[in-house]
Amino acid sequence: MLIINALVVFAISFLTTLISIPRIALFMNGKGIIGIDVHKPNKPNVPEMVGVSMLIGFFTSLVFLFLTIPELSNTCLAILASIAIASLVGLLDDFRDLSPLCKVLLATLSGIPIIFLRAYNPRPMIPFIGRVRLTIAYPLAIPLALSVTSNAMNMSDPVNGAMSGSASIILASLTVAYALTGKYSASLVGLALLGATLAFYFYNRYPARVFSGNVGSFAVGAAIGSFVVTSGLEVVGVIAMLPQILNSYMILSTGGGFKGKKAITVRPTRPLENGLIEAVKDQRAPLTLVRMILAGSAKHESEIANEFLALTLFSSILSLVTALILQPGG
Amino acid sequence: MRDTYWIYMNLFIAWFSILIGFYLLSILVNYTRQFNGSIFINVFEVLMAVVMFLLWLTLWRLITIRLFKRIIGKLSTYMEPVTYE
Repeated sequence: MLIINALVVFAISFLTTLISIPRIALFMNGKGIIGIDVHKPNKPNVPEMVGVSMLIGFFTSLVFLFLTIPELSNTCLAILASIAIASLVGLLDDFRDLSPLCKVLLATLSGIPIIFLRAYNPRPMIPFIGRVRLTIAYPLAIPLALSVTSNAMNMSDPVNGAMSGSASIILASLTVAYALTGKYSASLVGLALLGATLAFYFYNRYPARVFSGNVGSFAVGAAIGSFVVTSGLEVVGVIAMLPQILNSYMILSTGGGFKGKKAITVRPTRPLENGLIEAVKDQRAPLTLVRMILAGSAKHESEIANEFLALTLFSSILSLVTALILQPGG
Repeated sequence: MRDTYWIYMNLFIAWFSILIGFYLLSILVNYTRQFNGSIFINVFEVLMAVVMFLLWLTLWRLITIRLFKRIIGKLSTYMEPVTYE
């Protein structure tokens, strides 16, 4: 029964997203909501904000779980509300170009539904320590955690397929981690989220036919954050997201903090005429993960995307090792 | 992957140092529990964890920039200013 549920929930999420992508892309094209793919020599126009299709995938599959598995209803409701709030912040950022500090503060709101619905267990499992009781500190940390994941995913979308591909890898590893630790119902939620990001990756990978927009990246970040907070294995989630979290931290610490794009006078990378992308050799440019990837030599956009995904896969494997290290029943 | 192996090493160092941090925290937790007899982590221990995390974040940044200076140096050495619109 569990396997059937897993297949059905994944199929619902995957297919609804896959079917809705072309339609939403057409709608965005019609409305003139398009972005320029700056890393391509011919600078093509690509439909923006098509990440809305992932929202459809998340919502349909989570509503299915809400209706069919009563024990998951509270979790699904909390995740749905968190995703909805984060996507509104992303939508606002798409239209108003919010400052980084504003994005960080607004994204904390997506943690509130989880606190109000009490869809969390304030006893996280920590390697070497076991279960710890954080009755006061845990709920206080939830908005911060959601803000970190949302903004980290938002800042990890530099090349085609990097955000959707890395989110798929992270969600797949978390799904496996929950299955390894016997939390099969949490694995179902993971599959519900994975289906949408994976379907979107097929359209967003190099050469991208659609862009997710901030609405998509914020929703994905909140989906991962709320999934981990409501289902446990917090440390495993942090390890899986190490490249994204460290990339955001490096950008903030070397690129003018919360001052925003205006404070960055020099871009970290630049496209060359031969189609390759190189790291800008200027100490004023922020130290991003892509700039680190390009430190050795100029690379093609697809190579950068593959390297980005390989790094996420590496950290995901480390997260699975961490899941095995966790003391069961500690 | 030939010229990006150092980023994998960097991630591995980050992961390994997190585990070491948790191990040290477990020693601290066991030590403090001897005094108050509580099975729960108290405020002091949470604060210690936060301080250790901030220390780790600072150290990780230092390691990234200093230890791998030979590679990152290619980026941080001022060569030619390139500005964009």
